[in-house]
Amino acid sequence: MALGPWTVTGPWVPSQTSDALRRRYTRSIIVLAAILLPLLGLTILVGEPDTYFHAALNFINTFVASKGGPAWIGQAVLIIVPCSVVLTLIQVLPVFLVWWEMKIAAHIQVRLGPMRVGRFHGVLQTIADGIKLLLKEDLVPEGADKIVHFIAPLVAVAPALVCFAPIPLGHAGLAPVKLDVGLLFVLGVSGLSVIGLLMAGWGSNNKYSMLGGLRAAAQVVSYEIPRVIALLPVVMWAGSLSLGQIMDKQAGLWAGFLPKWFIFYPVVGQISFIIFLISSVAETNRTPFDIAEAESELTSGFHTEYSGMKWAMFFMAEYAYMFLACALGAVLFLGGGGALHPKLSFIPSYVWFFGKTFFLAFLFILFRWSYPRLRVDRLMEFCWKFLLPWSLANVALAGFLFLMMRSR
Amino acid sequence: MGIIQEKVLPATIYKVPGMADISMTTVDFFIDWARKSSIWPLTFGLACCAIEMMAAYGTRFDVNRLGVIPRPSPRQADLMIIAGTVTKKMAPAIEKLYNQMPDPRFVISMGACANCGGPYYDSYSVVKGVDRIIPVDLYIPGCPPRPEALLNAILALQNKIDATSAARRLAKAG
Amino acid sequence: MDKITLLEQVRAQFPDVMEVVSPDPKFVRGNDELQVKVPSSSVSDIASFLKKTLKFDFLNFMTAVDYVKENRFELVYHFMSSSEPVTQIFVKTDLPREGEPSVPSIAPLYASADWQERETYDLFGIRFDGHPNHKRILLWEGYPGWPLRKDYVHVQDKYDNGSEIGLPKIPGVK
Repeated sequence: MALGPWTVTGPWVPSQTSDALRRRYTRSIIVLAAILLPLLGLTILVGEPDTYFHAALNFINTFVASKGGPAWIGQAVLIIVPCSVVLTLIQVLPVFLVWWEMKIAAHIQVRLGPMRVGRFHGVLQTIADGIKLLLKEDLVPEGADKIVHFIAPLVAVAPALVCFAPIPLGHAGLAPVKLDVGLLFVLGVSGLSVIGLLMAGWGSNNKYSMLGGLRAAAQVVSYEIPRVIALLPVVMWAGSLSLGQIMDKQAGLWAGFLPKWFIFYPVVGQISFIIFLISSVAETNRTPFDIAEAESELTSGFHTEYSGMKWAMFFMAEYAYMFLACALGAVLFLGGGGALHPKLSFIPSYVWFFGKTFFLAFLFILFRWSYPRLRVDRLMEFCWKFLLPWSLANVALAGFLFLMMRSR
Repeated sequence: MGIIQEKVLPATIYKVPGMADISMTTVDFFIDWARKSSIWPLTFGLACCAIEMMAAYGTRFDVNRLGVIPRPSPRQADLMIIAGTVTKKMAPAIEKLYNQMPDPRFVISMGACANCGGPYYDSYSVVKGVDRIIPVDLYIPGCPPRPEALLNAILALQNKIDATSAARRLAKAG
Repeated sequence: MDKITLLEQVRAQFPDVMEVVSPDPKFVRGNDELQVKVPSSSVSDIASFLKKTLKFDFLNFMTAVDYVKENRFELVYHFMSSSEPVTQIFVKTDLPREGEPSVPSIAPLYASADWQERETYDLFGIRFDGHPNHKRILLWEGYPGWPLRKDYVHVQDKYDNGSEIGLPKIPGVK
């Protein structure tokens, strides 16, 4: 093996990878492929879920009619079951996302992440974390406002779960609830989590938590503005607030090879996407904008006085919001359930949707472990003095561009 | 039944001399497994041992492999690694932080200074061992102990956590 | 500038300054820089002269030495110049050990003297008149005694209970 600075810490370039490591990496890739490719094949075989919805609806209707029950049970089941499935999915996804983040962080830092806990590369790590947090003693600080302290984690988590309702998890028919104002609903309800942060800071009876909560709330509220304004060109172009319709308008190809995703629109798509991405990273209090959490490395964050499952709720809320932002980005900018090329549309739409969402989640995690943290005054300055003017200019530019495109 | 107890539910039978065998349920097994697989230490690096602790958290001796994630707040930590010299001025702070940790909590005393005062035993300002202030579960000798010693200590702590359910039952029975 | 010109410039302003030459030929380096002995009341005047006129703008360290047999403290100040780094000067003063030895503080002139004077006060009991924040820095408020004095006798406190070596047991202390 060639001698170089990296021989001590480990190989960084393929030419320095020893044979044993090369065998080990090949084996890992083969195992991953052996897990993922059959899953992909299974999804291709199963196809789109809503081909089964009609059959299920008919079956339930005939079944209920034969037993003499009311006729609305079929419809009710068809609403409740997808919603429950999506709720469960959103609560289970942080388990995977936390493990994935620890692994990505580890490999960025030239180390291995969790390896021991499950059989294969620590896959049961987050489950162990969750069980442990469930069994921890629940501490309420003396002198804290008990009701506020108790409700704060719920107020932080609940909007994230609700916001997934209008998002089409695949093609437009796979949204649990089909809303005409889906985008407005998502943006509005996700802003309610700020109250949870403030309640957490207030209910802790700790002046540093209070300050941390105020800073976090200021940051989240500030970055909502460029986020929303960056989405205005999308709405202008699609002519609708419904997420399903926005997604459907991104079907098709330009010049036979470039999908008509909004991110590929000249200048406007890219600026909108970048502003939306940066604002979403700031909304979810992730590095490089995590001055609220990082305070706990200096003094305290807003969730410092929370132990056990209540803290796990905040943790889960962060990952649920991150996934929400990625899902929104995938639907609005990357074409949601649409395939890269019509020839590839035998792969079901939900595979495309989750693939794009996980790609954006990978970007979020990459940002966290690559960039240092912004100081809080520079953070606010960046929002108000840079992102906001650019997003407004972007709206003007978008108006001009769409006028030109429509008049052609 | 014996095959199930030996092959499917490993380490669930504890042979205690002088008493009947204690058999544990799967719930106890999973509780202990969850607690030992996800030890979150409160980093309390005071002096030179803190450097070795940081090295253990670093990429070469990675404790994250074992599921260890350092947490900055005592409310979310279940292990406190006292790494370094405990001075008398710091002692009330250590006591306060220990009291703020929720149950179940463990303490590892790392290095000679935290074990017994170490080379500063005769000093006017050093507490002669952190176990004068808080109860300690594990002692790591060394000045400073190598990161592998800290890893060994965490593995030994995992063995100790494995036995907590059995210890509780023994205490209740005996 | 070299040692002799520097000494002449200082003596031109303050005639009662004497040069100190290290008596032991082993300490070769001790004779490379200029060491002067000054009366304790003129410390701040000399410091401001050094800072404003001779451009010694950096106080590297200041500390005290306890010559218990000669019944005096010796304060040592080490000034350096950032514009001419080779030029350094050690300023030493003598203080009596009885009563409350005090010397004018140079913290208003040199920022690094702030904490170093607090440390000297903490460990030796030398008061610095005019210090903006005259408190103990390393030990806690109300600590009995000045530990680095050679005649310091350690009073057992609650963290010392039960120690065997080196410290006398005081009956009645918990």
